Amino acid sequence: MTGSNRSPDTRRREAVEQHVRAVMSYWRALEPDWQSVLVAVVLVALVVGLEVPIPG
Amino acid sequence: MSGDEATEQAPVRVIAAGISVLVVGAVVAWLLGALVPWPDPLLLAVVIGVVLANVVGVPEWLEPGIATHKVWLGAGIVLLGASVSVQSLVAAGPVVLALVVAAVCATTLLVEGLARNVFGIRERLSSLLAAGTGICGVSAVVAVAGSIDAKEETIAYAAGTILLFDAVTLAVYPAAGSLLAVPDQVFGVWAGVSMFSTGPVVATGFAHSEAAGQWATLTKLARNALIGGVVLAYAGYYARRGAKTTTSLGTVWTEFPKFVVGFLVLAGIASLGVFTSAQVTAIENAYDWLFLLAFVGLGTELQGDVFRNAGIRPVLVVLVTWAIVASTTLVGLWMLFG
Repeated sequence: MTGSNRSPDTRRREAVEQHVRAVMSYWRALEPDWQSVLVAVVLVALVVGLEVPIPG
Repeated sequence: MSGDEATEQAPVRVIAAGISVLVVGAVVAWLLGALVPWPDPLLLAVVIGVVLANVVGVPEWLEPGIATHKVWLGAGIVLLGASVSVQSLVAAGPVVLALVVAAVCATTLLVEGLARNVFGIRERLSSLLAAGTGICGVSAVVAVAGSIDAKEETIAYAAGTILLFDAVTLAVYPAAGSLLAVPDQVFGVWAGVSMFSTGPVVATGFAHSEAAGQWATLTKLARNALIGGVVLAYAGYYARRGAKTTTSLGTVWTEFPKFVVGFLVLAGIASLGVFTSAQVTAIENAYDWLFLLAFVGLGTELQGDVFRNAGIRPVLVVLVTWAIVASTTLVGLWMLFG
């Protein structure tokens, strides 16, 4: 299939998939310990920066 | 293929499916925990994982996502840094650190001595059992195995034995803590110096109380931080005996659990009073959820066929060592902090 035949929906989906693949390749390049640190940083940023309430 | 390797190669949607299993298990544990007074939701999460793996059965394609449980445990430990009391950490730190170093040395030497001289176990298996018992369970077994060129069969044997004791201690410590009414700090440090893998230590500590959980995690982190030195020492020992080893000074950092860095940084930031009490509460809720996810995954590792790898002599060595170390450290800690 050529680029011009693809619908806008397909192109959008492909773009999203490309972004996900890029993020995952960075993620997989990290050691599991650093993945843990990154998850924690994201959660702290959500709680402190965006005031996301996390129920307990 | 190991869980970590499988996770590295699996597509995103496959990993997401495995993580969904952890989330469902965590929510069920949380709901059950609200309905029954005992056991704690963290221990219920482990039980749910055990039931999933041994009764229901976990399809192989879900394993990469479930194997992420170690990442959630590490992230939970980093977030725990936001709620530890730096003052009490500084006050008790030197004593706890001295205890940890003493316990690691005593446990490692005791296992080596008993295994080689009393039970006639091969030296590499003795070393893996000593590392697993003395430092941080299966992670230490794998780290030391890599540095002393141990065979797959020997690693499986040692890992099976340590996993068996992870399961046993998960049942024994909470019961002993309740029956003996062990004070929080004593219980936490006791679990931290005398249990095996990090996950069960954290689960058991927090199942006793929040304060006990914090002490258990801190003590276990101090113990885990010694892994690089122990790997290096074993590599040096086997290299002198002519064995093929692949370890350098960089191993100390390679094997160092990096989430300890995140934990210390967050503890330092929190001690400056940067977070509001509402934010600290939200972070505490976040690590509670991360621990629930992690412990469902931990439970799935406690499978019957893994325990069959544990031979009777390795089990006896670890049992005798554990009985000596657990009883003496409990009495000593009660005298120090009780």
